[in-house]
Amino acid sequence: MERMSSLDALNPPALPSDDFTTTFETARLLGMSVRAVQQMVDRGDLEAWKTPGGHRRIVRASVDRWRNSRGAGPAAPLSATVSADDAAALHHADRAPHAQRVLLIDDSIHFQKLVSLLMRQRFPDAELHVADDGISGLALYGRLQPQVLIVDILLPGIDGATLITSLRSHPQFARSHLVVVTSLDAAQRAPYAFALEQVPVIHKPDLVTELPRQLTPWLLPESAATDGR
Amino acid sequence: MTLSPRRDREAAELLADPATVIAQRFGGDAALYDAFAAACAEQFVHDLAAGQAACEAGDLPELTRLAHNLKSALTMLGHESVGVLAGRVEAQAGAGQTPAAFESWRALAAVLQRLKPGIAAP
Repeated sequence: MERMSSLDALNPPALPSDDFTTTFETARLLGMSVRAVQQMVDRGDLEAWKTPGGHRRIVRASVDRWRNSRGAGPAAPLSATVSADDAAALHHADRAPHAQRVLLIDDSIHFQKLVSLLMRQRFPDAELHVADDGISGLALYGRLQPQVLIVDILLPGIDGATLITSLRSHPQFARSHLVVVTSLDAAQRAPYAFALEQVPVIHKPDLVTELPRQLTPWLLPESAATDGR
Repeated sequence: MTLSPRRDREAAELLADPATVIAQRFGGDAALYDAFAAACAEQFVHDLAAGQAACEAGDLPELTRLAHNLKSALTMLGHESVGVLAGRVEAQAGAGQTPAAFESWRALAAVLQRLKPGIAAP
């Protein structure tokens, strides 16, 4: 058995199968992509082991602990009869994006504050949520289903481009408006180009003038936007 | 918009041209610039402590991340030359040049200490 995390003392057969979840189930429970969960396991954020066939089995208690540490309730069991497609469809139908909810994923406290000041000034009715790193951002995205997602490229844990790629595997992501903010110039962004195609990218020095322009169509009613509010 | 007279002279000397920065980067919104500057000055206290801790722990990835964020904030505020210094820390720490990165951090920290009261003044 390949050891994948800090779970040194666990002997998997000694625990009932209900004590474990699959990577897919965990992704559904945390509102993340399967890839993001695999990375959490690889980093040791979740306790897990591999079956002889190479499938990850994740300790449910570690999933609950991770959720609780971020303010969510314990994970509910997933019915064994629900297929992957069904689960994705149910998830999609149950949680429509919040019309005035914005999620910012940026580890810079300075820019978190600038975006917060800007939002309060220009979009006082919007609800701003902030995550400091990519993993927390993925979890919050699944929980909040924001109308707008603002992502920095350089983040601790997983970078913004990988995060965007992970989010694209979620059906509900198609209904969120994505904006990338970065202090990287065009040449420095080249390694992340795979994730940035068709995505508005704001260079941080232009944030104050560009971000409201990007957000207005999504956060203000059409009449207010055309009135020049 | 001009800087408040209470701003530290040294900070003003390091600031390229506040009126230009406010016009170009803040859409002419001086109040927003001042609010951001005050928030940054508050955060610099934590950044200085975090940088010191990263040096003591030999944590180059954290120093790289911290310097990168400082570079962006300082540039946004118009402190371009200090931002360049932060960029040097980021590059050296990112390249694993430990002694050089620590020395550059100490230089950056000294400038930030001098800059902070001037930035914080409303």
